[in-house]
Order: sequence, then C-alpha cells, then structure tokens
Amino acid sequence: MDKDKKQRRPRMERRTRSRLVFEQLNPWVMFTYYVVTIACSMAFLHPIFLLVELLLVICVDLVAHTGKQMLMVLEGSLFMTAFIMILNPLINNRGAHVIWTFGGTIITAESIFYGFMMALSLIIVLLTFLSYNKVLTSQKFMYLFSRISPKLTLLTMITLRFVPLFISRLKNLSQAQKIRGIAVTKGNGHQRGIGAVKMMQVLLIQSFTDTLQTADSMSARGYGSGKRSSYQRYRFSIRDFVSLAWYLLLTGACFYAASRGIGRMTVYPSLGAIALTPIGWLVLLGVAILFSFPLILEAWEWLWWNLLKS
Amino acid sequence: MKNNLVGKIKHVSGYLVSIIIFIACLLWIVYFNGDRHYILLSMICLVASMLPFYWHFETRNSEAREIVFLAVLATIAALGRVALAAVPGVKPTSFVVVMTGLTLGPEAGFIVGSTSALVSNLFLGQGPWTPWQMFAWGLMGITAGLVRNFKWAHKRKYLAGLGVAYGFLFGWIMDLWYAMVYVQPLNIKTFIAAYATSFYFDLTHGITTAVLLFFFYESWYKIITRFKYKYGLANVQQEIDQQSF
Repeated sequence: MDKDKKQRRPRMERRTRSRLVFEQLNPWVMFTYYVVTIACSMAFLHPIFLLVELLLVICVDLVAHTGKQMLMVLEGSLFMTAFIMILNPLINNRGAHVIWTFGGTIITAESIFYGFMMALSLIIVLLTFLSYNKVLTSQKFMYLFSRISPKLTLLTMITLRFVPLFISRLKNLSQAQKIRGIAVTKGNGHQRGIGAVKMMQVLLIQSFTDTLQTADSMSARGYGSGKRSSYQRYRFSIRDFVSLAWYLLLTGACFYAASRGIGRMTVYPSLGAIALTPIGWLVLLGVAILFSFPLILEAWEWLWWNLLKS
Repeated sequence: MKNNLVGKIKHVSGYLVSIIIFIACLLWIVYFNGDRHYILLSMICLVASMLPFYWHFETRNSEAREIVFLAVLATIAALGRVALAAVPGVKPTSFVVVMTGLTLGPEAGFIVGSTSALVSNLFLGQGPWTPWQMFAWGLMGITAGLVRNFKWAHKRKYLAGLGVAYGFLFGWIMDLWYAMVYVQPLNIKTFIAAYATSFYFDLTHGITTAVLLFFFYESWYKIITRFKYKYGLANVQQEIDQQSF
C-alpha cells in the first residue's frame, strides 16, 4: 500500500505543476520560435550576439525545468565541440595573425577565434533543442503534421504507441525465457547478442500475429472508407495570432539586417572590431527579444497576476 | 480511364515538385549567389529529395493492414536504437531497415527507415540530426529495396559486405550536418577529417549490421515474407512495383 502511494505521488505533482505560458500557445507558434532561434544562432556570428543568445537560452532552459540536463548535453557534445574547435584552425590557413606554423600548416588567431565562435553556436543549438524536447511534446509534434500528411502521422502515432507496448512485451518474454532456463543476460558478449536478436525475433512474430487483429478492427471501424478528418486539440486563438504576428515582423527585420551584414563580425582576412555600431546594438536588442520570447510571456503573466492581486 | 490518369498524375507530381525545387535551387545558386546560404540550401535539398517518396506513400490508397505492418517493423527498428542507446555505434536499426527493404521493396524500406528514425528521436530527444537520420535510414531502405531484385543480394557473404558499406554510408551522411555548418572552408580535407574522426563509430556500426545480416538474414527473411502473405500484402507489392519504382 505504502509503495503504491510513493509511486503515485510524482504523477500527481506532474499534473498539478503549473505550465509555462509558452507551453499553452499553439504548437505552430512554438515551432516558429524554435526555427527562428536556431536560424538566428547561425546567422549572427558575432561574439557579443552569441554570448547574449547563450545566456538567454540557458535562462529559457532553466525556466522550462530542463536545467539539470544541460550539463549532460554539454558532456555528450564534447566530442563534436572539440572537433569543431580543433579542425577549424587546422583546415583554414587564412588570417593575418600567425601564431604557429608546422609542416606547412599555419595556425592563425583568426581561425582559432572562428572555431570558438562556431563551437558556441553549436552549443546554443543543442541547448535550444533541450527545451524544445520538453515543450513540444510528441502530441504537439503530431498536431503540426496531421493536416499536412495524415497517413504518415497515423503511422508515426501507431509506432509511438507500439514502442512502450513492445518494451513491456519484451520484458514478459525475457521472464518467460528465464523460467524455461534460457537466461539472455548471461554469458559472454557473443551469446548475449545472439540471445537479444533471438528475443527480437520472437517479439516480431508475436507482434505481427497480434497486430493483425488491430488492423482488422481498424478497417472494421471504417478506416480508409472516406476522407480522414482530424481532431484538432489546439485552437488558433487571438493570443497566438498576435504573438505570431509581431514575432514574424521582428524576425523579418532582424534577418533583413543580417543580410546587410550587421551582426556578423569580419574574421578573415584579419579580425574586425568587436564593438557594435548603434544599429548593431538595436539588432542585438531585437535578437534578444526573439530569444527571450518565453521569458517575456512568463514575466508578463507574473506582472499581470501581481497587479490583479494588489 | 480518367480516374486512372488523375491517379497517375497524382503519383508523379511528387517527382515533378521536387524537380522544380531542384531547378529553382540551381537558378538561385547560379544567378543570386545562393551558394552563400548553403545551410538553407542543404536543408531544402534534403527535404526535396525525400518529398517524392512521402508523396507517393501519402497519395496511394492503402489498407489498415499495410500501415500496421509497417508500424510493427518501424517499432522493432526504433526499439533496437532506444534499447541500445548507451552503446554508441551499435545500431540494430540498420539491420531491420535493410531487411525491410530486401523483403518489401524500396518504398516500405524508406518509410520504415525514416519513421523509425523519427520515433526513436521522439524518445531519445530531437536535434538538428533528426532530418539527416531520417534521410540516411530512408536511403538505406530504398537502396536495399532496389538491390533485392539481384540474385547476389540474397547471398549472405555479399550482404555482410553491404552491411559494412551501409555503416560507413550512414556515418558519412551523419557527419555532414555539423561539418557542413560549423567548419569554414568546405573542401576535401574537411570531409576527410570528419570521416576520420567518426571512423571507429562507423566501423562498429557497419560490423554490427554485417554480423546481424550474416547470421539472421534467412530467419528474418522467412518471417517477414510469411507475414507479408498472411497480411495479404503481396498484391500491393506488385502494384507498387508496376507504378513507379
């Protein structure tokens, strides 16, 4: 009894915990936010821009309760980051300030700087995806594509449901095997590998036999008898429309500035000045607003709530 | 008669759209300096190259049985990745995708490959690599499906070689997404360096696929083929073969 209670508690907490305002928006708005932020991190290659973006992305991650996974992601991407930071100076011989030469390879300050900026950009993208995975749940992801291609969405949805089902079946199978005296988890790597694939084979046969019934019950309920309608869980409210409108306008303005070369530091042939022009600062403000969209919504809600309370 | 014609146009228009996109991209590169924005360009090309297959699958009439059949295979493929996420390089997913291509043809191979990439990423976490994985595994399914008409493709020795090749091919496609975006001058040296760093992972992946294909090809081929007939999908297969692939 006690054990049961302990298991149930986190689920309750999860349900009652308040969600972000950002999470309550239409999935299309969220999707736009993520596309724009990732594009921004690649378009504005300037140390000040990148550092501000990194700071804001970390803030968004913290607000979205994915702060704990940040270190894990950074650890996992260590290999790629190191690759980018090392390979850029090695491959690229351009640049005015030579630091070191060996055997025809010239390492310049510019290329090291460029590699550093690129690594920063990669980290921003990876951290952005952390909150993406939290906020844009699979259900919302399916909503995005259910209108565009209903059949593929159905296929993905069925597969999505099958994964946990098959995992539980796999557990049952391994228990049954254990009782019969065939331990899959014992022996050397070779034996274990063969055992695992054999289990998969049994699972495949069992699942094929079982799902035949699922398919027939689907067609019995009229699948494929007419045009598919789709249940829309998320409506496009006025709030979504307004936030999307100003967001897209600001994005357009920022990318117009980017196409004019603002917010892109000249690295080659020699390092340009880090300082920004007044227009540069303005664009930086715009980009900061683009990145902190979830934070702004949250702050707005907090202010509104406190004003109403007082 | 008319219905047939409309159906044909519907099937082919996916190819038309993607060809138009590619021509537009070429014009963009030649006349408007499109090659400067090669990140965007690479994404557009990626989507355009997958479009015809999705289009064909989407516009085709199919029964519930077929969709569920593909879903089971995609799940098994995704499970191979989700369950073995801790071991880098060991991906039984490729084995399942190749087996699907060999037994059910290119389209099913593509659909199973790309769906399993998408779904396993829904569990493991999406990232910029998702579209590239969908493309790489989809391609694996398609090529396996195209190769299945040759006799040598059903001999274990050659299949093992194919498995190793697939391991490297997959790794090389997956190296593209970060090498292309984050390393400045794109020349042969960049790619060689990128491929050299991922050599070990690619080799593990290739050898795993090869070993699995070598030992389990026959039994899995039998199982999938048997259920293909049991589900009554053999006719569907012939129809697709006649249409466009």
